[in-house]
Order: sequence, then C-alpha cells, then structure tokens
Amino acid sequence: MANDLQRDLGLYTIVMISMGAMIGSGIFVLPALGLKKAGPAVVFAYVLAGLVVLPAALSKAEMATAMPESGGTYLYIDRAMGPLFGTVAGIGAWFSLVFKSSFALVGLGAYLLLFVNIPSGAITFVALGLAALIVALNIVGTEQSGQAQAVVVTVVVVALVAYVVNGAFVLETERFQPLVTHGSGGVVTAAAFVFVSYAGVTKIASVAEEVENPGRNLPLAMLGSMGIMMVVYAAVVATVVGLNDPTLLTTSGPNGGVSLTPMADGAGSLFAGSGVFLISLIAVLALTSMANAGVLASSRFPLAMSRDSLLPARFKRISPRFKTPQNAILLTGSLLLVLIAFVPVVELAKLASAFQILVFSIMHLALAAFRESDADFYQPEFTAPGYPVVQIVGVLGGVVLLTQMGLLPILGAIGMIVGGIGWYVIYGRPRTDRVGALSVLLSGREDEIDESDVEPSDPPG
Amino acid sequence: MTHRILIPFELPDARPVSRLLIDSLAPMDIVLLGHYGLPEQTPPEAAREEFEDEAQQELDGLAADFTEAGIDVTTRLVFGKDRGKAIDAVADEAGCDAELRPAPTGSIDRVLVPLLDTENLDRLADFVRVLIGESGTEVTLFHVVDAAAETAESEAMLAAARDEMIANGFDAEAVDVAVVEADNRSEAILAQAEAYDAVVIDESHPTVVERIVGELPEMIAQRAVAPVIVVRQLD
Repeated sequence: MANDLQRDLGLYTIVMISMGAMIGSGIFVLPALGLKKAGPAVVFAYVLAGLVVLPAALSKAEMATAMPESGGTYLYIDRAMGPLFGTVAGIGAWFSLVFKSSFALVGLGAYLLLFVNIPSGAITFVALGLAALIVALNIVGTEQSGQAQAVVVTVVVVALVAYVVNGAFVLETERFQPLVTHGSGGVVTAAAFVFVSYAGVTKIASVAEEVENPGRNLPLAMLGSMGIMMVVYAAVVATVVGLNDPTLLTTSGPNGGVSLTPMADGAGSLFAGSGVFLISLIAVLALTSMANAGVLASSRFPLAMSRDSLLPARFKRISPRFKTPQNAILLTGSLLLVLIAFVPVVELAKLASAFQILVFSIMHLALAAFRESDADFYQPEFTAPGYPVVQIVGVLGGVVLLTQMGLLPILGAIGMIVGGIGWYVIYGRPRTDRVGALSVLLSGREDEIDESDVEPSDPPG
Repeated sequence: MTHRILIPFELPDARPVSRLLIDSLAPMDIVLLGHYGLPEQTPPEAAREEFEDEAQQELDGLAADFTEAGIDVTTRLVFGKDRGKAIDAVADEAGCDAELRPAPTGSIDRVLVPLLDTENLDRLADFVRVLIGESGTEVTLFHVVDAAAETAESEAMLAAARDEMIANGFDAEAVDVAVVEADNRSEAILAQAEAYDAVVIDESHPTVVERIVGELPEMIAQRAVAPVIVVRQLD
C-alpha cells in the first residue's frame, strides 16, 4: 500500500527546503579558503560552482520522481547500473555527506569560540561534543518540522542580506585589486572547493514525490533557489573580501591556517559594533541545522544499502524503542567523530567535494542508463530538460573540477572506487543477484526488459 | 445517506475506543486508520518492513472490538510522520465524510455543536442524530462572538438553526442554544466542552497558532475528555 503522501508542497516551500539545505559551511566557513586559492576572484568561483551543480540537480530530480523511495542517490545508481556501482556510489555519497557534516561542525565550533575565550586548540573538542550531541538527538528521534526549517532559512537569508547591505558602506574597494591573483586556474580550483555550497539543491529530489505539479515546480525551484543563492553567495563573498585584510583571512585560523570564521572576522564594524556577535549567532544557527540534517540524511545510505543486502542486516534494523534506524545512525556518527578527531578540516573540504563530484558524475551516467534502457518501471513524472547535453556538461564539468583539486582528493576518489569495488566483491556479490537497467541494456536490446530484473529482491514498501 | 467515519489510532499501544462509543457509531460505515508515527530519521518503508506484522495485529485487535459489537469495519495501516496529513489522505481516499477524535466517555447525554455559520447544519445535525440515537439527549448549538454588539445577530442565527433542527424531527425540549462573548473562540469552545459528553464540529482549516499548539478537535478530545466528530468539508 502507498504511504499516502499527498502532493502538497508548493514552489515556495521547496525553494525554502532547497535553500535551507544549501546555506551552511559553504558560505560561513569556506570563503577564506577560496580567497587563498583564487584571490578576490573567489566571487566568480561561487558562481561557477553553482553552474556545475545544476545539471546534477536536474538529473537527480528526474530519477526521484521515478523512484519515490528513500535511499536517494544510492538507490538511483544501484537500480540503473547495478549493485557494483551502487556500492561505490553509496559509500562515496555517505562519506561525502559525513565529511560535509564534520566540516560544518568544526566551523560551528570555531564560531562558538568567538563567544567565549577558549584557545583555538579546543575547537576539535567542542566539535566532538557537538557531534556527539547531534548523533544522540538523531538516535532518540526528532519530529519533522517544516515550519521551523522555513523560519531558520528566512532568518539566515535576511541576516545575510543585512550583512551585505551594511558591509557595502564599510568595505574597501581597493581590496579587489588585483581581482585575479591566481589566474583562471585559481578560480576553477576555488570552485572545486566551494562546490559543496550548492550540493544542498539535490535535497529537492528527496521531497520530489510530494511536490505538486512536479514537471513545472521541480525545475523552477532548482533554478530559482540556485539563482538566488548564486547572487547571495557572490554578494556575501564580495563583502567578506572587501571587509577583511586578505592576510588576516588566510592566516588567522587554527595553527596559522585559513580562517574558519571569515564572515565574523570583518564584521566588528557592522550592525553598530555587534556584528561579530550577530553574525556568529546566525552562523551557529545555520551550521547546527546543516550538521543535523547531514547526520540524518547520511544515515539513510547505510540503511538503504543494508535493505539491499549490501551491508549487514543490522544496519536496517529500526529500534523498537526510539523507532529510529539506530545502528545506521551510530555507524554514521562513529565515522563523524573519527573524522573530526583525526583528520584535518581543510582536507575534509577537499575530500567531501571530490566524492560529491564523483557521485554526481555517476548519477548522470545512471540517468543515461535509465533513458537508454527504456526500463518498464522507469516512468519519471518530471523529465529533465536538455538530455543528453546537460548530463555530458555535468560529467565533463565534474572531471575538470576534480583535476583541479590536487593529488590527495584524486587519490581519495580512486581509493573510494577501489574500496567500494572491494567491498562489493567480498560482501555484496555473494548476497545479491540484482542487475541494473544498464546490464539489461548491454545484454541485448531485443530482450524485453523484465521489471523483476531491476527491482530490489525484497518487496517494495 | 449513510455516513462514513474515520477513526484514527496512534500505534503502537493505541487506546481502544469504549464500547459505548462504538455502539453509538454503529449506524455509520467505519474505517479504522492505524497510524504508526515515525520520527524524521526513519523512512516509512523501512519501518513498515520492521513493524508491519505487529502493527497490523494491533489494528486487527482494535477492529475486533467493533466486530464483536456487530459492526463491519475496514482497516488501513499507514506508516508516516505527519498524522494530520495521513488522516486527511485516508479520509479522502476512503470517502469518509467525518473523522472521530476518540476520548474516553460514559453515556452520551449532552452534545455540544459549536457553529461558525449554518451552512453545514444539515450534515452536523445528521451526526448529532446518530450519536444521540433514541435517547433524550440534550443538544446545545453554540456560537462565540468577539463583541457584545454581535450577540443579537448570533442569537437569531442559532434560533433559526434550532427551528430547522426541530422541523427535521429533533425534540424541541432537547435542543437549546448558547452564545458566549470571548476573544479566543478556541478557548471558549474548550471551556464550554467541559460540561458535555461529545462534540460535533465542522472541519476548519487550522490557523498558524493551531498548527503549533495543536488543532482544536484534538485539544477538545484531550482536555475536555469528550469524543469529537469532525464533519469534513465536501469540495
């Protein structure tokens, strides 16, 4: 039986959901890092990054309206390209999202420290404490509150606009000279780093089945929310650049690294002197909400993979006491704590971006596999415009960004692929006989595609 | 026309409906909805896989209470995060024209009918008739005004409504009217409901405040401990 979801989300609501998922570490933590890579031209990096994410959002939305089951990216790729790609993408997407959450938490710790006078070395411990708290909250379970989310988004956006308007009177225009310090390559590199600032737009896909008139509202909401955020990001980052001494931004962080609180750094002269306090408060609000959403969303990956027999069955178990997927959340929380404790944060941002780019690229291929194989069960209510050009641009854009990130993220992406294949060969393959739409396509188009070949082995919910 | 009423239960460990209330509902078609509430962390299909059997068992147990009273019921089981949404969706799908908010009750001797206007009076009266059956139950038509100046107009509306009900077969002795002046309609209805055994009310679209503090019928059922029949709007 269906879960009786009604299509009652309008354009405004989904734009808010999307913006809420985007606003976070990308704007509150990453501008200083981007400045270091690209100089004041980091402003363009934020626009470029948005353009690269857009195709992924369109592809994901189409698949979401064809498979209204939670599991997201993992599920689409698994059903399109089989459990091998599913395993790689599932683990990659999971890592990426947990990385992103850990980065948000470290940024959150840094902003919190602006309120109290604690040495910056304590950031890790503050972040660990916050992470433990958020994991515990998720295990106990929280009520869904769309209203609270909308309020947070509105408050944050209003604060960002106020920051820009107020900052425009104070900022020093000569700080934009020279505009480009690291060439166009620097802008692309910076775009690769701040890329995660837009990944939230794909959150729209997770509510796609509840959107009224999806054929019109899904693309409009994606284009609309990304358009708004590109303008907001560009304006905010320009203000950050204009308000701060670049040397301060790139050296005032922990251990002489880039600042993790760039929005607060130059805010002392804003809002009648209370700028640092107000901006930090907003940052804490936005980053907490992002870290929480990240833990919630990333725990869906082990859960969905466990339901498909790609992970041990214990990760799909729902706690009778809390009614939450306790083990999947614990696994996710453990990775989160380990990352915060042992991995330097700047590397986190790179790896999160690299895995995300990888997953987005596979997702475009998944869409192509569905379209070309003509599988019976693939009946999307929303058809992404511009196929296949948009998907090709998405994959190529991703590859270009990936090559600009340095050796470590590339090795990380390769490691992720090898690790995913290894896990599938050792654990997954003996336990599943699912094949994706792709292998049906490759095995000869003259065969009628049978739905049972591509559906999961367990009955759909 | 036979009415069809939806009775929602919050699983697991739902509170059964009292036999007395079951008997009063007997003339209607009854749809039982088992709603298994989930936190936002849990995808419904994963919870269904895990808890469906025991939830269905519990729902069947609740349905057995009705079967024993000689009433046929249909059951629906939903796993979800938004109870109000699930209730509305199932009510739509199953063609229910009313929803029950159950509450413990003894015999139903006094029924409160808060009115905004008389548009839906026929249907409200129908449900009142079902509830009171042949017994000499007392029915109060109730209206809240914000200003004393509106009292006369309000009394006239209620008097007309009362006449109409009497013309349709209600005992003149049994139907009375009450007008109260208050700033907060919900609070006034809640206070009035304390003295009644059941409430029949029009569905209204919840205000922002209601969304946060809880919807009126739910609050009546809990605070005034009176079962509420919410008569749905027909589009």
